[in-house]
Amino acid sequence: MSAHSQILLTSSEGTEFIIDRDIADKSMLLKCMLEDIGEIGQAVPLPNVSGPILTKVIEYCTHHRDDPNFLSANDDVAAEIDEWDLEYCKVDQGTLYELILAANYLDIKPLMDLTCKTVANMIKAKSPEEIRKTFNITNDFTPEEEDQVRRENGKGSRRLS
Amino acid sequence: MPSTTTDNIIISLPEVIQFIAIYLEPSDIRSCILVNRHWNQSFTPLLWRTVDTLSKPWQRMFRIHDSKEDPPRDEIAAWIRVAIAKYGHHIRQLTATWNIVLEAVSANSGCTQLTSLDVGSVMYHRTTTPLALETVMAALPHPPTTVLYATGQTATPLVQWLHLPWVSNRRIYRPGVVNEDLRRKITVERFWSLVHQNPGLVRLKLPYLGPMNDLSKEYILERLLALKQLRDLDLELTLLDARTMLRLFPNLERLRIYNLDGLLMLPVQEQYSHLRALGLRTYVMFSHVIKVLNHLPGLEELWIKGVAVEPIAHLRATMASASVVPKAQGEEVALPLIKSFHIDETLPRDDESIALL
Repeated sequence: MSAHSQILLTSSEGTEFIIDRDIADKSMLLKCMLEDIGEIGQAVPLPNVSGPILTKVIEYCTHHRDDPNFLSANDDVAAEIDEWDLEYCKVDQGTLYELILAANYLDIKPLMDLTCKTVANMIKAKSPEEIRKTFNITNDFTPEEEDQVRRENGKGSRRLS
Repeated sequence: MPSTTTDNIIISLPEVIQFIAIYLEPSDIRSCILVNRHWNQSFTPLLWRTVDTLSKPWQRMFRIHDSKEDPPRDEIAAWIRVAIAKYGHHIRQLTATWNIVLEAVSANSGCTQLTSLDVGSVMYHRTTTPLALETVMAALPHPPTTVLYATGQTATPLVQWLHLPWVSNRRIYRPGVVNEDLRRKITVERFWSLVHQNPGLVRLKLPYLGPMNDLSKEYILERLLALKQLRDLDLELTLLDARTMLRLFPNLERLRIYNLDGLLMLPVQEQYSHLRALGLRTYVMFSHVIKVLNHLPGLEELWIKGVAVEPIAHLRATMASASVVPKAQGEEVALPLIKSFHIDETLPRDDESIALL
């Protein structure tokens, strides 16, 4: 079968990557494309994905290569992230964001779920100030604005009285 | 390294934020809107996307049950009015079991994008200020405009009620106070005006309020038929029977219904293949259920309030004849493959009937 055939991808800088067809098929974008136009033997350009990020993405798809539940792997919203995935997501925030964008663009749902869950875990149970620290964001609210937002969106009634 | 540019990338993609928000509780999203202006803009629609007065996180977020620091109820009501007036247009899924929420949402003319509206039983918040009838009338979502009934009558239900002799007999209000009965009618009026301004509703659960049954059947059907996307309907009304509903709404995928009239008299060939889930809000006999299943080849979920007793011989006879439709009628129709079956409460039952099923 075509599972043994190989696909050539080019990252945004023009670096070439050779991957197995079954790895490429983890991306719905590539899968549909390859099914539609067939393997034309030419490189598939991925202008939105840089080399280092593509390497990371391929690493993920290769690890989960034979996972029978690949597509439904991260469907459970409350489930814990498994150890390998947890380790995989220990990257700087810039990389994590680029991974989300790549997963979104390449349409790899489990990777999208995993990376979004990781960002969500960085937000969970934190105060606005802690979130600002985590993501290095400056607060551009005026005190009045902040107070108003707090009041209008629940739980802020303490400040009312 | 984190930088404001990556922050902007991440939350300037609405799809991405939605994916992240799946894993966040309302209280987390509330923290997000307080981070800065950009995050505020991005997360506010998500905070208000689903308003569910039955969900614990939502209740916690708005500190409804925190008795220690609870402001007086009127204050909460006032806050809900202000907040929904400002953010109500973001709401897509609404579970409004508090009349105050239903009231505030129906008063917001910008709230037109609902896909799901779930009312069911309605709780009235305690108020210390008696409501004057005039105030209530003035605060109605729109001045009682003319509604054209299928019957040719022209009046809103509320206006009709106010003119019914028994309303005035039972006194509309004690000095300055709206009575229970009228209050429920106002809720019903608000409910229908909200349905009217949200033609994109996919899911709808009607309120369990007595006055719903005072409306004309034509009025309700007209309003429901205006909802072209409707796929999921839950109604505990004696007024609308299952047969009428299936015939008028052949695209329904989920239906919960109380009145089963006509369902047993359906001609054998009449099939409703879109229906995937059926709920019977009443006690039924097993043999009747089997008969109904013959018309629903696509059914996957079945929910029954309770089982009524019936002679076992009767059930056996039905079972024997029900698995296939008599060949004389043409091709055979197999019973649907039910994946989920649930009975809320069962009346005295015998093992043989259970085994037969």
